Amino acid sequence: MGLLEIKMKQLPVTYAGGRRNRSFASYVGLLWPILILLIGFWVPVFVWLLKASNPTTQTLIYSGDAFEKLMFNTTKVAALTTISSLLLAYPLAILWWTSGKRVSTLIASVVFLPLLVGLLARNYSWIGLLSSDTAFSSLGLSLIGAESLLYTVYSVILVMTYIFVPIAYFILLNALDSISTYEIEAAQTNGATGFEIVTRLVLPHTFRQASIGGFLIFANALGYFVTPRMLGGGNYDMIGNLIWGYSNLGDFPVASSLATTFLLWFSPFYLASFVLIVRSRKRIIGR
Amino acid sequence: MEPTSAIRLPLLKPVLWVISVVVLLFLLLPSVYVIVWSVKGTSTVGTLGVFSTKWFALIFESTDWRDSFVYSVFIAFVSSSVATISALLYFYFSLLYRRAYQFLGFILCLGPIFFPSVVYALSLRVTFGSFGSPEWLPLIVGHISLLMPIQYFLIESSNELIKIEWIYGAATMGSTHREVLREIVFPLLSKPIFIAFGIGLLFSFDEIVIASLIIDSANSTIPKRMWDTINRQMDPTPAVVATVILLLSVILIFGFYVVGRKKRMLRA
Repeated sequence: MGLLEIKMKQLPVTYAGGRRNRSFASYVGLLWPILILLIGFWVPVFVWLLKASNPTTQTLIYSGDAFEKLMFNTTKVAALTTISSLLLAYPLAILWWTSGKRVSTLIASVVFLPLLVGLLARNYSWIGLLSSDTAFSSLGLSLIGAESLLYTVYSVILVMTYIFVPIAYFILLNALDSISTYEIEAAQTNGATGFEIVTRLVLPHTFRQASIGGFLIFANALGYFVTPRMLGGGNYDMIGNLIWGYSNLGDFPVASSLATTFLLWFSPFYLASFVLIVRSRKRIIGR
Repeated sequence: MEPTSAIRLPLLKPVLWVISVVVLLFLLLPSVYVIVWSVKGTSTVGTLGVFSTKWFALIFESTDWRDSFVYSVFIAFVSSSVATISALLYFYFSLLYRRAYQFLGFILCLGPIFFPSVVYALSLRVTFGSFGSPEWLPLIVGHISLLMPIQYFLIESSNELIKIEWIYGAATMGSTHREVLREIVFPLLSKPIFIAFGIGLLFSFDEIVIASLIIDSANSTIPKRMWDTINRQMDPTPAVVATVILLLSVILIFGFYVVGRKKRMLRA
């Protein structure tokens, strides 16, 4: 009986329902998601790229010290935001993973709750928090020795970290879920301390998905303009602010030139993350 | 995804607790401040006054905010519905056609997740603007494109709820795709599908990047109106709007939770 069961499981699973499923509606259902993504995303991007690269629209590829400084600042803020988001999300995710149901539900709810308030309101709230004479603001001032924490690069990084921590947290939950409890039990039986379990088991196991999460946060932070605009107050611009600013003024050729240069600058990074994720596809989607 | 039963990490657990409590307070603080600001806010930013509901009254009396709310709900509902259906269809067909179809869809899904949204919003503006489309069209198209990959990965993360053999079995016995979706996939994945729809609704309702670049007319979404208000003056109006939305969301989530619990109890 046991042998028969093993042989049954080894039989190849095949799809044999083709005949009744070759209707027009089936093909529409099959192609619909692909068409949605093609028409909704890829076609507008390619049409815009074609227009931007048309010689008559005089697309400029920006260069020079000022532009390089802007790109460096953008990269610096995005990188610091990514690192701090992952650093803050890790302990939270590990605590979620190692706790019982009640504590883990509480943690997940508190992380999820700010998302209900809305992105703009959360940014706006930080303006209120940092401009008022609160203990939080005073602590920030004493740490950086500035006259005001608001409208500085520190406030931009602080609030962008605040925005991206939940994203890092939810990605890490998925990564932690892939670790088997047997491995933890085996490590504990062999006398590993909590610190050793985290550094030698949890971190290596979650490294790949944490890197994907890092790439994702970095990619999003690069083009971010809401927080730099609100918390930077015009003193601290990132490339996204300039693109938004020119578009808002109706100067689409300049905005397109900036966007094209931005994409060219970061194309190696975007390509690398794309390749990393495609190669990790099976681990991400689980089949 | 359920957490595993409590794992012992001797000595490290107290450190994790301390750091986590600080991070959770950091995450919670602005949400609490928004509520305080909405009832105690003054026209000067950062200065709190006495308790007052005058800003709430101003919002509820304003037809502009009411219209924006209706417009936002419409955009969010349409976008999230289309995106959820598309994500579900892609999930289902990628179970059947694994190689080229699944790979192509996966690559197409990555674009909206990685591509800078400000550049995508600009491309929507330029492309749709060139044939004079109404504002709502690029807004909905943009939201669907951004939502669909997120919703697909949400549904995909629950793939252990469904076994491919069940779908193959049903198809072998003569079921059509529509029947398999209605009788097998939807009942088994109803929870992740509703969660994906809800998150899509929330995301679309809160979306500002595309809205700020597409909308020029007075008919704007809630985030765009908030964005314009914040750029003009700094009164508690955005905090009041955020508090109202937070209350509505909590009531909705709690309502769904109670209804779901009642259904589960009846079934038991």
